[in-house]
Amino acid sequence: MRDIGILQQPLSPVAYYKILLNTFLDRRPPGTRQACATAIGKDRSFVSQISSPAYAAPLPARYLRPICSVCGFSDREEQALVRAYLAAHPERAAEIYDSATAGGGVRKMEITVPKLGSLAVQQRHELMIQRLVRDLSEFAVSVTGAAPSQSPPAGSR
Amino acid sequence: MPQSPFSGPADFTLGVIARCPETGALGAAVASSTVAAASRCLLVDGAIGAVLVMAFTNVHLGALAIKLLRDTLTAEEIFALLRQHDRHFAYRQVAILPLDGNASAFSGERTPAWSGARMDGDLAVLANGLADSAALDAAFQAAAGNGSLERRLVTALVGGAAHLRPEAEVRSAGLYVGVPEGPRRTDLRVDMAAVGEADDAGGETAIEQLAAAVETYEPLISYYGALPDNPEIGSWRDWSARDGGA
Repeated sequence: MRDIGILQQPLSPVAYYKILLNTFLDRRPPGTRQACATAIGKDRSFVSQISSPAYAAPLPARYLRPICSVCGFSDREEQALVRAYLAAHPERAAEIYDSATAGGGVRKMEITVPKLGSLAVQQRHELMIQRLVRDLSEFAVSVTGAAPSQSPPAGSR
Repeated sequence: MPQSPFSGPADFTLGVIARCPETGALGAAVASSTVAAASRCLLVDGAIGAVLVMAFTNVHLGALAIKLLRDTLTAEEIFALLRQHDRHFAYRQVAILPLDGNASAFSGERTPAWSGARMDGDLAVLANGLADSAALDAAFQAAAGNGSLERRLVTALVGGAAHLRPEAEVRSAGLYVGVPEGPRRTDLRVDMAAVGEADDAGGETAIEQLAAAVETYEPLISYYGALPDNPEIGSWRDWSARDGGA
């Protein structure tokens, strides 16, 4: 198989979310991949590619939420998949959250962090903050499932 | 497919993974002829699960298995993935224990003989490089006993050690226990114990040193659990003298 041996090194973030997607699809009845392909206007081979860690091609962000919905993923499955997806493609967060909040959009916050002297420590610190924000946002979206409030809280812009 | 020839009579690894039914704590322990085996073989997240990876260890597998458990995969699904994507899976031994119990284990056909696995409910034991199954069986029986999880794990290693080959070199041993509600509870290591001639200087194998460490540390678990919220509890010596024997 093309993908054998991918665990001889750390798994890439893209391969990781594809493994999750493939496993969640495998849990569904036969025909789920075809139903998924039909729902997003693609053919079955497209679904095979976006759910196979052997292919480097990423899953387009606009398909993520519809796939979760069409395939009937549980809340925990969807949260795990979105978390893994955003770890691989943090720049697609706006698109992912926009589709989950009925077009409610996203807001940007500016956060002040200290300069920590070491570039490595600085990067690690900021990465931890990004992960925390991603997890909290995904949790909030899953709990509320609603568009965000129109009145901005203090400190955001 | 023959078992791997890359080991001698001094080489072995024995590992155990278990869950405490009363507290939900998860733990793993390992002893080996190699140095610092625990650093490569044990992965425990008390809120997610425990994983033991042995033989020709692929250190990526343990971390990946924990991450996959967190992301809702079952042990069966994880084993299917490892079998499909790890080119050298026949050289591995892996045990997985999810948070809710039901351990699963795999022992590849290319692991050093004699090798095998035992599992039942919340317990699994793996071993390789043995003369026969006696050490594995003894460790499995010992781990099923009573007491704290730390004590059960180290007792398993001690029980198995009594059935190792006479030439076996017990160079390292380690134990890790995590609890669902917080960070690790116990993390004890003997990474490079003296063996052979140097044994005369110390007289204790890594497993014996680990057992001694558990003996000392076990009464202090509640002390270190209370310390963060009660910094005026005093030193561990004061506490041991005052409350440790209670």
